[in-house]
Amino acid sequence: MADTATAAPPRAGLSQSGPRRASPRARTLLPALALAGGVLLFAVFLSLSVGQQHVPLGTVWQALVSPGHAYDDTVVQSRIPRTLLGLLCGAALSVSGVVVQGLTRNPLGDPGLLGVNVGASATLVTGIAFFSAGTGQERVWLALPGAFAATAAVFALGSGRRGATPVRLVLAGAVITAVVGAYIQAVSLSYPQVFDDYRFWVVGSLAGRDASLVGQVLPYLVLGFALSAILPSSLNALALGDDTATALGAKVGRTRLIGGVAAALLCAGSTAAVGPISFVGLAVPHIVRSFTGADHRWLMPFSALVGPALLLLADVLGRVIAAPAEIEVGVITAFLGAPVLLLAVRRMRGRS
Amino acid sequence: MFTPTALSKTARRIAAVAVAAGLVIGLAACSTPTSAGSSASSSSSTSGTDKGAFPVTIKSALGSATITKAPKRVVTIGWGSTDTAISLGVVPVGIEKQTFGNDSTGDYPWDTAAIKKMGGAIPATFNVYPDIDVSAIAALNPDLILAPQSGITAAQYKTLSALAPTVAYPGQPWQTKWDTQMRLIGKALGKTTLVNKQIADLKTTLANYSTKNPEFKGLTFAYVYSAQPGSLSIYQQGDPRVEVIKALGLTETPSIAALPASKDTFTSDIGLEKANLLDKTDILFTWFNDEANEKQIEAQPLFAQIPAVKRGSYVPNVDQKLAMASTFITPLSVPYALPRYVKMIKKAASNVG
Repeated sequence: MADTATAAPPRAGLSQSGPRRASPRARTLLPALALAGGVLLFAVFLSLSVGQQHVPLGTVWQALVSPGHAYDDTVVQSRIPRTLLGLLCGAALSVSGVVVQGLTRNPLGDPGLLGVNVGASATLVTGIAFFSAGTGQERVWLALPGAFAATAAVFALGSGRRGATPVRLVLAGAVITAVVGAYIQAVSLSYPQVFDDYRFWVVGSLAGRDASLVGQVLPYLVLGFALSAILPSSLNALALGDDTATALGAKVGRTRLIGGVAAALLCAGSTAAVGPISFVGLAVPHIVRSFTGADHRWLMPFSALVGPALLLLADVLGRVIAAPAEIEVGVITAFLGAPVLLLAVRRMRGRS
Repeated sequence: MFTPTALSKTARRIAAVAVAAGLVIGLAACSTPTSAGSSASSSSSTSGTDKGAFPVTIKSALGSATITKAPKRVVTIGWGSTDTAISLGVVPVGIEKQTFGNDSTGDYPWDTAAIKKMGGAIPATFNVYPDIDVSAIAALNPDLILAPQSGITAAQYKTLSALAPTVAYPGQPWQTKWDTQMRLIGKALGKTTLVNKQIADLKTTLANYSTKNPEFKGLTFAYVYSAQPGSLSIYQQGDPRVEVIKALGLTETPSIAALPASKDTFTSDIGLEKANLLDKTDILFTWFNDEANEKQIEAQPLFAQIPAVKRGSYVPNVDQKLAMASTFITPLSVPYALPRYVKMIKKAASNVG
């Protein structure tokens, strides 16, 4: 009977990790993980329920389990693709954020740091400008190669004799972003019709996406998630510095390679599907780290739950605040992300 | 990195206005600019000019234009002015370059055909997006600028007025009725008698279509914009697209007509999730950029379930030229558009259950 107190769900806050490491932390974080899952489930239902046409939650449930032919069923079904994309891309962006922040040991890192966004944008504007491609289906295939090429370029440029180091990676990312960014500006500003298409894409939105997009990007995302899943322990080792990590038996180079590929797959797949959505990859790992600490074994699964919940809630907010018009989710995440970024910077200053 | 928020919000707003105005930008198939028709040939005709028509002063919402003698070098901006000027015997020296529904000359095919028939020179074209190409207009040395159905701003009006007397809209931008527009142009060109006759003729033509198709009378319609996935906007009365259909005898679906128009537009933006507002509409009109766009939109379950779409009492216009021509009521556009347009409406009407 002595254990009842500890077995009960945590009431106020989450306990600090004590000297014994695994068990007390697991005892508090496992319920928290379930809670995060609950919040995500709630966000999914909200995403299916709220919009120009409000559908009560009970009706949403009915539309999912036993659809009749009521108009509300069609409304709910039309929201399924954007909800699925929100789930997948939210998880992809935040998990790749965890990976990139771990790889570069840069807490301000986000997947855009590896050049994924500019790479995707560059091939996209090229396709629209010179090959008059532009429909939803074509965009995925336009955005993916650019995203991968830019990431490869960042890694090539960031690798010295001893492989890619965090500082070199960040610098290479900045260089590629600047160069490719200039190209995108030049093309999109010289061709007004490209600019018109591009500016809608670059904001990032879950709205009006075709359900087939999910299937198109799913293989990339699944592979990205699978690769990320094997990384947490290696990323923990990497956090101690390259030398210590190597001394502990971690394969630093291999971790960077797998991590780079995983982050590129996740971020490129997401960007190709819904456009570059800012701040999710940056902010979610920070939010999660504030209660899990730096252990990637917790950071990763929590981010995979909190990221999509945040993205879906932001999307729902965008549908509500300017109704009947919608504000793109990319705009909302930027608004929500900015304070988190400020907070993160302040916390870092506090530590150093 | 890009900071998309502020920039694209403004840009979006611009686009929203442009779309509302039906000016579809972003589709510009850059046609080669026509070599400015030889400036030597004055392209105006004096037949039909009223005696004592000049000088004349025309007031608009942005200022007054005084025209002292019969204009010879006319420039047109916006919708329908080119048509009206040509049908009054005055071929403009320069026109706004059209980017939707245009032919290779950057103008509408019914205008080009009429000019060729008259033996006039094909007008030079100038861009108005993202801003009016004032230097191109100045190079044309105009003596009258017609923009009664357009969206020119007060600042643009001032600039243009410095080049030549400029006729803008009498009320709100893009909200000039077709007959008002024709009267303004007739007055500016000194051909009031002729233009009044043309207006009467057009009204007769439209009434004839209506009497010849009595089945149109009891039918309700809605004209929507849905070419962007997830969007649904309804064109309201005052928009020429709607006026053309009303002139043929159809009635706007009352519940749709009662929706408030969004600020400064003649459209009501409702969003595709409210597509059930169209349930009681007999015939649904819309336009698409092209067939790929049509397929993409029609694949949306919310669009596909609209009763009019389901039963085929639906007029989806994918022919850009016809879409534009059925957006004007002018002596040139009506004979181009209506024979085909009415056929499409008859077919849709036969599917109304």
